[in-house]
Amino acid sequence: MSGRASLLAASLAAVIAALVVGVTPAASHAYSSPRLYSTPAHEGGGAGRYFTGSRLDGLSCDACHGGGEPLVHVVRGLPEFGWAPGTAYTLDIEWSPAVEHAAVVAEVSDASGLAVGELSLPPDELLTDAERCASGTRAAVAFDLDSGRRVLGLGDCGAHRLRMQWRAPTSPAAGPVWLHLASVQGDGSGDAEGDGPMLELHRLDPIDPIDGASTEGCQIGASEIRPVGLGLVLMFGVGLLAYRRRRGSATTVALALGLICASGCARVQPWERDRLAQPDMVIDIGGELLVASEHAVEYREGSAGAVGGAGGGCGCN
Amino acid sequence: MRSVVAGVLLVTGCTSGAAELPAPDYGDFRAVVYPLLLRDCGFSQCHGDPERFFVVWGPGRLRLEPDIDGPFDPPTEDEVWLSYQRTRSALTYEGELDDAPLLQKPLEGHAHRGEDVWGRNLWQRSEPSWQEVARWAAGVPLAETEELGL
Repeated sequence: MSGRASLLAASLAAVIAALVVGVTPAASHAYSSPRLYSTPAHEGGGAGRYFTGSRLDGLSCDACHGGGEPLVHVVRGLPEFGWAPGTAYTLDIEWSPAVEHAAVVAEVSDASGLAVGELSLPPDELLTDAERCASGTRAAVAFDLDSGRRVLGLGDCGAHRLRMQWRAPTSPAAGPVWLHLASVQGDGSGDAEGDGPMLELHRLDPIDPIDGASTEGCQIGASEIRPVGLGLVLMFGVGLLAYRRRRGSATTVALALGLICASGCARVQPWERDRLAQPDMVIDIGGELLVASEHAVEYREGSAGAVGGAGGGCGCN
Repeated sequence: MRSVVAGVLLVTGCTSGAAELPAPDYGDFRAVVYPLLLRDCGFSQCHGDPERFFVVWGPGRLRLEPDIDGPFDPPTEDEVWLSYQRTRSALTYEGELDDAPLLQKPLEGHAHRGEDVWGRNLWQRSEPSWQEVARWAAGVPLAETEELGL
């Protein structure tokens, strides 16, 4: 009993000694810049903790921030019905411009916490104003960690949008992956009080490349032999019927046309949509930017209309 | 009856005077243990809360004198010393050193509210962080620990 009592007394003595010095007003701080996550702890940084809540991190923004309303944001582009191998998904996180102070960190990791697939930020030329700080600089930055993680961070600088592209692994064997989305809506006080932290974990499962149910689409690029071959066989059969039976030929022709159309569509697997998903495949994207070059072509060639635009080939300005 | 027992405890505690707090090396604390505790424990919702028994003060976290020190100014001597004292207090134990709250509570299966978002406790015995603190608590001089990334 005396041992326990002596321990109690020793603890009390230490606490009292500490309180003599320690009872002063105090304020807790937190990070307004993601760059501080990599700064050593004794310099006020996270020393490698990025607070995304991933399995290799564990903690999120609520380790420090609290007491406020969480950031309300919209996430678009999630492959909610499953990711397809090799497919690039654009994940778009946006919140109200009325939010004055917000910070977001994001990470895509596998069950072990390591980065999976390729996570990247848009190039500068594709950034929208919402993705820039009030100063006009890029808001989001990427961190490649020695531990095998890749973290995207957007600091409190006036931006209200974070876009990222995630290219899924080339094999569904990678298994389920998690999008970690941690955010804080700050009150601008500079400390951790009155801020609203939030963590969203989105589990994304791979879809089966054979039985995937969300992969139907009209074929534009390379085709599969099997559906087209089946369509040809059916067309041949219908034509044969139309040749032998004149009655009801209208119905037969309609059926044949339907089958022709049907044979023109085939399953385009998501990982085959890589090229189709590129911005330059969009018809007339940035048309206003092409006016000058089109005009030069028209002037040089003395013709117009080949690119679908209207105009004259007179050569005048 | 309880009041009598409590009184006896207090009296014996005051009169014995034989108990001593563990006093691991302060230099090693400053160089290795303090940054580690700052990194993994000193969050304001955790042990960066001045209401806690075990508190760690420092830059980017709880500042002892916020009116004087900027949020990211280097730690003051008082902050390191006070954090050391609180850490020592968390090292009191009965029986084995591993029973000390500082070493026991962050491990799996012990009462510690600081679980991460996956429901895990902070450290495991196999982790370099815990092993470093345990060595320090046992009085073993610490070598350079750059691999901790602190």
